[in-house]
Amino acid sequence: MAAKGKTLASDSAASGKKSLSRSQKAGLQFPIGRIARFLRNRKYAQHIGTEATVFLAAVLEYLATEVLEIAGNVARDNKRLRIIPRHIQLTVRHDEELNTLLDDVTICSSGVIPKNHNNLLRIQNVC
Amino acid sequence: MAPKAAAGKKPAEKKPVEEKKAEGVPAEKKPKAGKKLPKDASGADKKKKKAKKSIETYKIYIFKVLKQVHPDIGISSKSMGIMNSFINDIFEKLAQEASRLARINKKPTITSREIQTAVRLVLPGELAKHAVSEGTKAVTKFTSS
Repeated sequence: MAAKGKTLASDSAASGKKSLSRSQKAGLQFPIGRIARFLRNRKYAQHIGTEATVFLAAVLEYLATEVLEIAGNVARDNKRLRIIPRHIQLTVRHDEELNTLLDDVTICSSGVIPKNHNNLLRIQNVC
Repeated sequence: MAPKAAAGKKPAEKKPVEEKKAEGVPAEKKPKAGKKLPKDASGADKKKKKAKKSIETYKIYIFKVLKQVHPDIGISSKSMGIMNSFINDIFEKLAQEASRLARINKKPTITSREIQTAVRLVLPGELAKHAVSEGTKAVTKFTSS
């Protein structure tokens, strides 16, 4: 019995396998375990597949990457080292697909896109 | 010898006097309420201190992703709150759609297939295609490891 226990311990030590988190296995930064717990506890379905949580975490990470990359570029263009809500607003409203996704969303303390309606401009005589 | 002994005696004599004085000082001040209360309050706090309830957010993960994409750019706390709300919103949209798909098809399980279909329904155009490819890549890497 003791020998069995010893061999098991020696196997894990010999193989040198450190326990990896699911996020590390999938190569993601977002927490797969936490997303799995949210899906289970909030009663979306009776059962949740393991691959579903990995897929969902990957999609959320991709969307975060997309927004943060463009917002970072906007911040740099405005000579700032920190992303503020205005940069996120400019990011979302200038991108067609992100604007469609966040069409009904109001971002706090972000202002509006500069735009003058054509009818409010001076009449330009066309020769 | 005698003066040395006397010198040796003097500080020794002084010490008990000082101790008596030190004892006398708090003894005199004890009846005053000012010093007592903070001691008692701190003691009560130590006994009755409630553990702070932890709030789970995606903030540390958003920060990690930002450092991957732009290592030298920071993010304000309001912007971090906006990004956290954005992730929660998209999570709910996708989960609700996947739940509806599973229910319509009379399946009790949400699998990666339901999530993929939900992504195609919720996200517009190219965003959906890229998101599906990212998800598939992550699932392949996960199952192979």
